[in-house]
Amino acid sequence: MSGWSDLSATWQDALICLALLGPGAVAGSVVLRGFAPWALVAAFLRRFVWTNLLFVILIAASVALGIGLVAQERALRMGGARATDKFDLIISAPGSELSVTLAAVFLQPMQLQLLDGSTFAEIEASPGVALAAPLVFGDSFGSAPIVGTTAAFVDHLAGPVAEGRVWQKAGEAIVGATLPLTFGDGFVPAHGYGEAADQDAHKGAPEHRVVGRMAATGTPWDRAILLPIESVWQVHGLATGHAPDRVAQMGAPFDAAFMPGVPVMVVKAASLPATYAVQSRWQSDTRTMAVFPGAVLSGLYRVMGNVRVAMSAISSLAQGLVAASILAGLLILLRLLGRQLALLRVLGAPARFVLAVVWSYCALLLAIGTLVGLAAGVGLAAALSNWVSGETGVLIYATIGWTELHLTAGFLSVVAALSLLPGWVISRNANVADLRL
Amino acid sequence: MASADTARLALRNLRVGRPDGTFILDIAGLKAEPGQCIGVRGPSGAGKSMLLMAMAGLLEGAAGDLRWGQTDLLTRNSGARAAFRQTHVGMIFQDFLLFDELSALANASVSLGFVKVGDRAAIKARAANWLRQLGLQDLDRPVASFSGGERQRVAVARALANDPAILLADEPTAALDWYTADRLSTDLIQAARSGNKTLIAASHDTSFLDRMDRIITLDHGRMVEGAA
Repeated sequence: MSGWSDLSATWQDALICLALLGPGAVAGSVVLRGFAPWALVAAFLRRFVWTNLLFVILIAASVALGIGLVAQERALRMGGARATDKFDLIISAPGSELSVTLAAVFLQPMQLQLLDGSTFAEIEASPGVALAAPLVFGDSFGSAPIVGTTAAFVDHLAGPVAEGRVWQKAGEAIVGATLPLTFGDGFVPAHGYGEAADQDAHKGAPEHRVVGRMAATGTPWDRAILLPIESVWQVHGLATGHAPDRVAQMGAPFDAAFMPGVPVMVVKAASLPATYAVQSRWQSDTRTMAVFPGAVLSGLYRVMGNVRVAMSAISSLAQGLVAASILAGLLILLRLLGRQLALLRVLGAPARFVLAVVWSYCALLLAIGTLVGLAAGVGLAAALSNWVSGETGVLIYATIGWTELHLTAGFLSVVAALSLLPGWVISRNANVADLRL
Repeated sequence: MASADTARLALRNLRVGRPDGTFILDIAGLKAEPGQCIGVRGPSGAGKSMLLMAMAGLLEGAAGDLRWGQTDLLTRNSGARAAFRQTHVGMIFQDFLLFDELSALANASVSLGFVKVGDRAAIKARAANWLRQLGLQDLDRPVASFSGGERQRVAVARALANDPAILLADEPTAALDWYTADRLSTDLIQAARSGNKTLIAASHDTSFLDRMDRIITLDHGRMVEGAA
């Protein structure tokens, strides 16, 4: 199989697609050899135009749902993976790896233990650590989560700000790329999230003003408000992370003795080996947990992978059942044409010609439905992507890939084979008993 | 294609039985010469349609000796009988049996779908020619919009399109008004005689039967009058 492995993935996928279409094409060419049934097929299509349309819609809907879901599931995985790009390593107090990942990467409200200042300082000072950014959560404004962090992390996450500037003092804020706040807008954080947020918890605290906007990241961070971590601590009446004589300082270095504690640290190491070394060091420490968010998501997707297989199987089964039901419907419909089909035999048509007519009619309807379903699946996947992106903030692009094309090609072959059944039944029964000569 | 020899009928002891051992059809003998027009009459249920079906090789249970020219039709298998019909037999039905959505020409040349590729052009040309000869001009109009007379003429053109030696017609004028029936009868008989074809038509239409060369009468599956 070295020839096969030498082929590019695109060629392999294209050949698999052709191979899946093969049985249908073979069935068609054998059935149709020497015949031209299309005038009669066109007559049948016109005769039962509304019923045919209904059948096409049914098969298209079942195919679109299957394809849309498979494409969407893949897009979700890719979107999720993209969201973890800037989160090489997360260190937190021991707990749930998934909770920490969801909190840091997807900004989901989670109950997390805090790392104390001395542990933070030790991690920051670990060999190979290039960036150790603290993240603190817990406040919000409207539907936007507020995250306290450092300017270095803002730069790491999204590069230079797209508009305005980075904060220079407490009380200044940077907003995510899609958040509908403009420069100069002021706000007072609420404590908590959503409907449970306490709007008056920080009453009396100075207003924060928007001074900059991050470049788009395609992650939930695009809908977040970022504050200097010192501001968040200050609003909560805590120490600012710096000694009293350096209270105006923003960002590192922090003073361990004055750090209120952080739930999550995002760590960027100088190199890949250094990343693993840091992870190993802090994973083995009883005070901490060092998590690769990408690995956490991979584990999650492994579980979801089984779900995906089950989902694909159920979807394929549903498509098969719809196709079989439609073929049964067509069989009943074709009984109405029993006399015309018997006439063909009387005129000297071989039984195979009757089979060819019925097969062409059934296979054409199902093929049209399948192809319409493929196109509708693209639309459905795009609509689902928009919706999921809107709900989660994770930018998702669902596109039709080879998996969907393989499913479609396989399904076309299956319906081509299934269409032989009504063809065979009708051609066997198309006889002069249906006629009154 | 029409061949004088194929149009010659020699039928002996044609029988179609029932499970109880009696016969639906029991014809001792019948002969027809090319170009001859034979009318078949009899009360409903007498076996007229059954006789035509048997002559076309459409009855699996028919036994006896049924020869069209050199072809002993009943000894052939179903496929071979279908091939014989495709080439040598044209059939016309009381209720036309057209595809309403197809044009007159597509109906008349419906056999294009299954005949050899090399024969298709000739069949299509003959179908168009017959449709015009039978007085139809708009060949591309769907037959759903045609009158009964026009539809039956399309059916006749379909029967003639493959230039068969044998024409079998079952009550071809039954669904038509007097004037249309008269004209259709004339066309059908003329087509048979001019083409040296054997026409066998079952009918209750006395004016149609009166113009036949011979009439046979069936009753209870037996020929009671007109045997040759």
